[in-house]
Amino acid sequence: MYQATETYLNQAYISLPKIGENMVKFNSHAKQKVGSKVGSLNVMKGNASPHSDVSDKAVIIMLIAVVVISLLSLGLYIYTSAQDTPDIAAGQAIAQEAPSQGIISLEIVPPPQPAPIVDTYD
Amino acid sequence: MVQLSNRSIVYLLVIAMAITLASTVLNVSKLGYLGNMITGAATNTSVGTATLTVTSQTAVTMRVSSIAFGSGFVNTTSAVCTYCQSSTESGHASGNESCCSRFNNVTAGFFLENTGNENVTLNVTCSGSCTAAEFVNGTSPLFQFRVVNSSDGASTGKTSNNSADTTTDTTSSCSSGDGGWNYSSYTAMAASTFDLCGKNTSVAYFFGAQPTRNAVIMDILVKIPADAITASAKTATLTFAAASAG
Repeated sequence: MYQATETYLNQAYISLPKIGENMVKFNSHAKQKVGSKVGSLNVMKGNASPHSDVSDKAVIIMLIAVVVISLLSLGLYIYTSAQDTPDIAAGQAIAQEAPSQGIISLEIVPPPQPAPIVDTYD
Repeated sequence: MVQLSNRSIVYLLVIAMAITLASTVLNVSKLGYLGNMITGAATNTSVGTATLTVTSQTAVTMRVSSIAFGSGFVNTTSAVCTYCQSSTESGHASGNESCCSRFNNVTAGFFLENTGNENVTLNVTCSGSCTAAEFVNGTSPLFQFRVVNSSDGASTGKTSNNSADTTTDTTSSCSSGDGGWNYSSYTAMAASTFDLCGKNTSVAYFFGAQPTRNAVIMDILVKIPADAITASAKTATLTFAAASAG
């Protein structure tokens, strides 16, 4: 099968039909869509004017944007999955506080002995 | 303009679809529609339970952790002095001050504050010289403790060390459950564990975490007979422990 793809009139190339079939007709002066079926030859409709349809470039940009957004979404999901683990889950084991210690001290010493009475008078 | 063939466009579409599908499968499986990735998912379709988890913290801070009665003796040169009695509640007993010679006049008991965000249990275990005979000795000695609210001092006008509280308590710190603080009257110290708040169990989480009701004081009382003499300084170590339900 012969095929002419996405063409503007001034860039078009059209494969020749088989012998005996009708030629593709086009107006080389007007920017308009071209597409006609000539026997078994399919001439794809191209964009005759950049204002009349979405260009190939726009489609490709959109597709690339879809891929980038999808990758960002996947990356964000993986990142948030790694971050959202709670510190302490409900129903966890009883939390035990490290014990604190207090000290009580006491020392009882013998009372001082009274000084001996010294008789200084002879 | 660079021409891309339809085949290239199809490749890009396939990549986009594959990535999107992978993301969708991951998200859907995370929600539990694929596999059993949620262990706590409800199984009864008639009852649903929503759970919100707030990070819990169990912490009890000791603001006053040392009680040193010091080194001294009973002033037996006075005929009225048969003992020296002192407590962290009010210092040397009224009328007995002259009998407590050289001992420190301690007026601050152990002060503990629940600084976490969970109600907790509280218990204390004594080790070392825990009985009156070991800590004081002599004839009819006393070595006792009591547990009171930090807010009690302000309400009764008694001497209290609640100035150590981060936020001054205004109400009982063990009012939940039943019974409040155990051992609110002086009780003989012993080498064992005492559950201090609420019921005498290890699962009574009644020691509050609210700033105005989260502190407790343990007062110590000693009565030193005139015939008491220790060969060296005696110490009793109290280990406080708290636990929350998490």
